[in-house]
Amino acid sequence: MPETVYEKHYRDRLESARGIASAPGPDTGTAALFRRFYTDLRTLFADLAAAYRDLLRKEHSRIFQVPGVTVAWLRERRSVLQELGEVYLRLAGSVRSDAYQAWEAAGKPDGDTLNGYLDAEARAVQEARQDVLRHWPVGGDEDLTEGRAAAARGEGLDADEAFAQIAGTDVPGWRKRIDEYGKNHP
Amino acid sequence: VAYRVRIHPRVVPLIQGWALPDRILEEVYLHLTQVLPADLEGNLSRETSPFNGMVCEFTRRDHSFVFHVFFGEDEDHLLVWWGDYDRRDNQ
Repeated sequence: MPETVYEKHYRDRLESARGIASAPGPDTGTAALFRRFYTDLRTLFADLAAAYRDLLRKEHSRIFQVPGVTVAWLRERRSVLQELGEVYLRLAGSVRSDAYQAWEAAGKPDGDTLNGYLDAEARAVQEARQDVLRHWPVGGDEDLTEGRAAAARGEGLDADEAFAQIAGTDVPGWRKRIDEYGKNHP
Repeated sequence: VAYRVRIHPRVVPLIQGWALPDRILEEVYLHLTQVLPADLEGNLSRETSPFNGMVCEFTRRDHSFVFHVFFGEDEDHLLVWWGDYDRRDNQ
């Protein structure tokens, strides 16, 4: 699936973090090295979580900056953003597990185990993703199916009725507003 | 064919949530009910087959809108199914 520059860059960063986290690390058998390695990983995953939220913001803004966006393009962005969030969450979960095992193997040295911190970052990523995708102008596959079916059934309010509701008035009141707009903007 | 535009009920609270200024709300209505049906080709972004709907995007002053639109099966109406909104000063 084609990706934007920002999406590719973020995926590359995730791949790099995966390599670092899974590489034979320093001798974590000493408490000082254990703490150093996983403190660095913790910072790295905080950076990646912030970068993901920034990616969501950038890609959402792009919708309104790129002329001629299509349903296919919007679906693609949605899918890629969803998937990159999943990659982050899987990777953070894996690091969480590895860090805990390393902490145990090192004799449970003083200091935190990374778990609480990674859990908080994962929650922030999930919430940010949910918030952006909930407002995304094109939904997932199920939503598209529902939209097609609703259109086929002739669902929907008359535009005057819908906008009257939006404006908190009745249909005559809304039409009067539109008439006045027309008089002021001939 | 003069297309009628219908708005799915779920779009009502969506647009209410945008808290648009009165004049902008009136212009959104006019765009969807007059500008769009008058020139579908010029106002809808679509793939070869609009099976998954089309996109209607426009900007009024510093307010930008993107609406997901489906053709009705009877081909005499359009259904506004969802949408999104941004202000240029937020970009």
